[in-house]
This record gives sequence, structure tokens and C-alpha cells, in this order.
Amino acid sequence: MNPGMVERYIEKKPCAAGQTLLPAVFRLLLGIAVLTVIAGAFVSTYGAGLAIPDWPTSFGKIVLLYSPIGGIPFLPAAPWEVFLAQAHRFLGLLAFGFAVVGLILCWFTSPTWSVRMAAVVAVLAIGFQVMVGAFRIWSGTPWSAKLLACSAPLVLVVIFLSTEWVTSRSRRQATLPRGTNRSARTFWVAGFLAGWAYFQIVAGTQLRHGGPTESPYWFLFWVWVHVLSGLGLGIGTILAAWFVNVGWPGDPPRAGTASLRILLSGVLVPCQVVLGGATWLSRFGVPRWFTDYVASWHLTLESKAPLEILARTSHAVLGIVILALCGSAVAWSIWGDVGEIKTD
Amino acid sequence: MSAGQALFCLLALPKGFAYPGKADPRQDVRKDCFLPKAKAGLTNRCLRLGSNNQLAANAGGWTRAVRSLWDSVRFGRLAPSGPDLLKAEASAVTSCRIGTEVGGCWRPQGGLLLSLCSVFLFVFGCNTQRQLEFPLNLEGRDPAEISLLAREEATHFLEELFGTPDYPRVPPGVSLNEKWLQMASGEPSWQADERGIPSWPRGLYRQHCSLCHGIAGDGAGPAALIMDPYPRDFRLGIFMYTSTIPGAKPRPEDIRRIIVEGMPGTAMPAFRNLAPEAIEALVEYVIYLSVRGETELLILQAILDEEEPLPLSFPVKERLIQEDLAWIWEQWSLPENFPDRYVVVPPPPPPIASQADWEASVARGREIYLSERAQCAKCHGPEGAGDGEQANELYDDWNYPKRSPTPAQTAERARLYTLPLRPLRVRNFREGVFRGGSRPEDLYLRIAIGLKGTPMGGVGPTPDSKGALEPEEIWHLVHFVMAQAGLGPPAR
Repeated sequence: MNPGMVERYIEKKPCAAGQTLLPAVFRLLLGIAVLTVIAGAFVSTYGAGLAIPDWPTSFGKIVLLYSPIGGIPFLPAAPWEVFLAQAHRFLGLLAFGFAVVGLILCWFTSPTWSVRMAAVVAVLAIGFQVMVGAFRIWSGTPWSAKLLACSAPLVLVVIFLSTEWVTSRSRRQATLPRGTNRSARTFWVAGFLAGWAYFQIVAGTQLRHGGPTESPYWFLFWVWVHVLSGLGLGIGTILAAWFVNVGWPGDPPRAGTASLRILLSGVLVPCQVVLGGATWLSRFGVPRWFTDYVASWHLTLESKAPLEILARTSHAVLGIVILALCGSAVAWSIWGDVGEIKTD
Repeated sequence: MSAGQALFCLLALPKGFAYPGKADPRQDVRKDCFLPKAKAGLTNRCLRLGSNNQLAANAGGWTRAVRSLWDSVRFGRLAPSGPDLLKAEASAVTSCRIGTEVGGCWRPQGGLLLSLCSVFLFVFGCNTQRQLEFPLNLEGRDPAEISLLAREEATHFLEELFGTPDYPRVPPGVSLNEKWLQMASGEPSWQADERGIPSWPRGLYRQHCSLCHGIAGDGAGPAALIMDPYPRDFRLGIFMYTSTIPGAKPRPEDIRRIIVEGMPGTAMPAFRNLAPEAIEALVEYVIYLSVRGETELLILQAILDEEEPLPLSFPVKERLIQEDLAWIWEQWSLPENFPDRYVVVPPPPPPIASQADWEASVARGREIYLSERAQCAKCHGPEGAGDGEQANELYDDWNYPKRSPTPAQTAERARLYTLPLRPLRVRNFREGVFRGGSRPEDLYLRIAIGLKGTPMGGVGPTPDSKGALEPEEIWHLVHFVMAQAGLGPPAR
């Protein structure tokens, strides 16, 4: 590592107010982004993607937010699907606003170009997602819905990493050197898991946003891909969490931010597999390959029942969270941790 | 996803990773740049990269020509024929990033972009068509033997009569509520009134039903293959669980009940949470799809089997509308117009005052069950476990045409159908799952009317026949089935 780089970091002390306000803004941004993702998952669960047929207006008017129940001042009443769609738009707009505020704060409070770039990237990512969402409304085709669903996880990962970068850099700017604990093992493991997790999201998008004229064989193909890949990912993440955090006998101990992210993924992915099973059961009933064995279930499905809503929405959101964790692990394995743990 | 798209993806994908026919030497450069190893070797690697390029520059004339053409596509210009190694060394230190051009080295972005495009096309497809069309019902027909003119004529005539999935029409002589059809059709969205307030929904069928039942109600929606039984194909005009006599169409009330209560043991959910108007819209749309489907069969019969000259003449079209379509709609109207004749209402059951009465009724029901008059045991088995001697050879009307005398012929015939052949699963009463409902009245109707479209015929009296069993005997049979299912005596 070049010692001159440390000196450069120490020399340029940022303004004190920016040290606390900037991370706070980005953490708020991350929270709103997660809420936007959750709202988006509700939108697709309820099939409300095109509930409002125009953009950026709503039924020709400028409306910030609707209310699902009447009688609330300043909030016009609207059906549930319309409320969901508008809430999703509102949260996206809020996230964009916070990202812009964060960018302005960066420019005036943070001297480090990387922090500024992180803010720029966050603004661009959210702006991109907004445009994809607008395109979804304008085109109305199933593939635009799939595109929106596939880009949203990547945008959240970008916001997550930007937030981590801004908060960690702000914390480290004045006193701490750049981390040296980088792990190639963790990098490759996390990278592989992140890629696999994203592939799972893409496969799930095929099922969740399939058009009505798609072939049943195409749907079945993605069902097999999604289910088998999900089971593999569940086992693989557990093994990866062990491999990265414990390793083989004789390996030096390792525990850093990246490793802990993978450990958390190892806990969440099996939960995601369970949620996937609940999603299938609540939506399609007992899979036909098992009806000979469990046909005695007195199972009458109910459309939009609380269990179905909870399972489908949680399944979508948790998949994105897992991707964000794996992406963060990749980033931290490159940035390195500040700590006492040795690398391999 | 078409075959053309798949072929394009398969051909395009390797381009990003196999240019120019060997491993991209920049992989090593990227690895060294990405992870903090000593950068001393970096310059040497870039130089070696440059020397590879030099080798390429010295390649034969035809290789250079092909490569230049490829470069003109990727870069929009001809690439330099050899690297400036001094520039390569200088730029390697400062611009060591993924995918940056180093001197005259090849850039992988073009191939990467091509690979990403191919993956994008494979995953998302490129169907930009927003307005959907009803697919033609060519089940059981060899598509290769149907001319384009015949398809277009049938499609065009059907569109004239019934519209499209986004803009349905009510044909002449058919009384369907257009407002409800508008609500059920199209993309799921909300429509605003004059004040801009969202007031009524659209796209209910596509939102709730098309994933399983398909855009045309053909029962071959995207999720059809993961379900057992298959979703109902409305186009034959046959519905299993009705309250009308055998051979008659269902009442709207029968369809409404299935939508609201669902079907236990199947993937058909209960839509209790929908607003009443939404349910009425879906009922109307199901009837619309059924009428359209039956009309389509008759039109295709006229074009393909009767070989009417194309384009269809006005008299032929008039005959199809005034006679065939009118007959189809008349069948749907009969149960509503003549309920006494077409609707079966279960009579009051025999009184069950005590446990002894119940057991006596069950015992009597078992006798009837095993008798030759009812012939229940042949399929359902002696104990109602669905293991009768004929249980493995039964098909419904949707699957029966897919069969052929030999398994090889059946496999050959399968290519003419969207969904593979699937036999009927004879009901095992002990599971306690009855798809048409488990109330005593529901079971009475199943026995009296039968399951339309299946080998289970009705045994109850109709206006045209005495039937195999008397109503009281049917009730004893119902009690026997309930006892086998563990349902116990009905509430008094």
C-alpha cells in the first residue's frame, strides 16, 4: 500500500457537520429504498403494476399519495391496487430526493472523490430505475415488467454499497488507514453467491411476471431451474458461510464484514427456500408430483389470502436482501476491513 | 421465446468469450488490476498482450480481412494493425481498469455487450406486442396442414364477431353484459371517471385467471403443467360441476359458486375477497370465452373439415351466425329460461333422527353403491378408495381425443396438443376432498347429474328419463359417501 495515500486521506479533513449528517442521509436513503422494494413486491403480488395507467401523472392528475380508506385529509381515496402503485412511486420519488440531497451534501462536506462518486452512482441508479419504471407503464408489456423486477435488486445493491462506502469512509477519513484485510477467498465465494443469487432472482422474475401467452413448457422450465437452483443455493450458502468463516483445519481464523455478510446469507437463504415452498403452496396448491402422497389435504386455496400475500411478498423481498448482502460481501472483500484479523 | 431467438442467443453468446478463437489474454490483466498484487508484472503482461496483437497483425491476409470487418462492426472503424508498445506501457499503469483499451489491444466490451444482449433476449424475449390476440384452437390438428389463408380467415372472422382479449365484442344474437366484459378484459388497471377518480377495474381475467386458464380460456396457461388436474378448458362448453341436467349448459350461478368457493384439492382458489361486481364480470367473461370457443370450433370445422371456399362467403358467415352461434347461445339460455326442466334441485333428504337412522341410511347406501344399478364400485372400488377395476383407464373429454390405440401412436399424437395426455384420478372418498363441494346437496348433485365431460354419468331422474335411482336412494348413497369421508351425519 502506498503510504502517500494515507497521508492524503489524513490531510483533507472534512467539515464536522458533514461527518454526521451525510451518513444519516444515506442511511435514510437506504431505509427508503428498502421500503420502495417492499412496496414494489406488494405491487407485483397484487398485480397492480399497471393499476395507474399513466406516468408521471396519475389518472391525468398530479397526486403524491392516495389513501386506501376515505376521509383522510389531503389524501384522495382510491382502491387498494391504486394506493399500492402510487405508494411505490411516492417512495421511489422520496428515495431519489434523498439521493440528490446526499449528493449535494457530499459535494459541500466531503473532500473525497470516492464518496462523491458513491453519491453520484446512487443518484444515477435510482434515476435509472425510475426511467425503467416509467418505461414499464408506457410499454405495458410483460418483458418490461421483468426488466423492472430484474433491475430493482441491482439498484438496491448499488444503494446499499454506496451507503456502506459513504458511512465507512466518513468514519475512516480522519484517522484510520485503508483496510488491509482483503480476502481473495471471500471475494470469490461472495462473488459466486452474488451471481447465483441474482440468477435466482431472474429465474423467479420469469415466474412472477410471466405473460399470459407464454408457453407452459417455458414456465415449467423456469420452475425447475428456480427450484433446483434455490435448493442448491441453500446448501451452497451454508457451506460457503462455513468455508469463509471457519475454513479448513489449520486455516487462520477469519471474521470480517464480508465473512459476516456471507454468514448472514447462510441463515437467510434456507429461510428463503421455506418461503418459496410457502409461496408455491399458497398459490398453486400441492405440486402435482406429490398429489398421490398428500392428496388427502383439505386444501382449498384462497386468492389474496394473508398467507399468500405474506409468503409471496416476503419471498421477493428476502431474495433482494440476500443479493444485497452477497454484493456487500464482495465489496468488503475488496475494500478490506479495519481490524486485527489476518487474511489468507 | 421463439426458436429464432434461442438460435441467436446460442450463436451470439460465445462471441463475448471466445474472441478471437482463443482465451482473452486480458483476463490476466484484469485479475492483476483487480486484486492488489505487485504491479511490477503488469507492464510485462500488457507488453505480452501487445505482442499477441503483433502476432495477430502478422497473420495471413484473409484473417486480417475478417478481423478488420469484425472490428468495423464493433468499433465503427478499422482497428490499428499493431500496437504502440510505448503507449501501451504508459497507459497500462494509469488506466488499469476492467475493459479499458490498452494501446491497440482488443477491447472485450463489444463481445461482452453482444453476450449481454443475447442473455437479455433469452431471458426477457423481444415481444413488443402490447395488444394480444386469441390463439386459434388447433388442438388435434396438424398445423402443417392448415394454410395461412385458412388461419387468417378464421382469425379475422372470429375477431369480427368476438373482438380481442383487450377489446371484446358481443356478437349479434348473444346477450352478454358489455360493461362486465370490459371489466374482465384487457390489462389489469383501473379506469377513471370524468373527475379523474379511479372508479372501476379492468383486466380481472388476466390478473386472476389467465396464468392457469390461458388468455383464450384454453386451460393451457403458463402454469398449467404444474397442476393436477389441468385448468378447465372453457372452449368445449363443458363444465363439470353444475346444477343442470346432463348435457345442459351450466347456470351462471354454478360458475359463480366455483369462483367464489374454489375447488378443494385443486389449484383453483376461492375468490371470496373480490368485489361482487368483479365476480360477475369474471362469470360473464367465462361464458363469453366458452361461447367464443364453441363458435371457433364450428368455424374451423366449416373451413377445415367441410372445406368451404375461402374467403368465406356471406351466406356461409350468415349461416354460422344465424344458426350455429344462435344455437350455442340458446343452449346457454335454456337453464335460465326453463329452470323447471333444466335445473336439478335436490329434494329434502330422508329424516335422520338418531344415530341408528344414520347408520341404517349408510348401510342402505352401501348396498346401492355395490349394486349393478349404480355401478359405483367399478371405478371407485368396493370401499370407495378409488381403486376400482376400471379406475386406471378413464379419461375426460379434454384428454380422451389425445389417446390412440397404441402407446407409440399416442406419443406421436401428443405433438398435436399443447398439454400431454393425463388420465382421470378417480375420487377416493376416504380423502374427504370433493372438488364440487362437500355439502350434502353438492354430493347429491354429483350423483344425480354426474360429472359432465367425464365417464361418470348421472343416475338421477331427469325430465326425459326415470334415471337409475330414486331421489331417496341417491340420498342414502350420499350418506354412505359422507360416512366413508368421515364427514358424519349432516347437521339437522
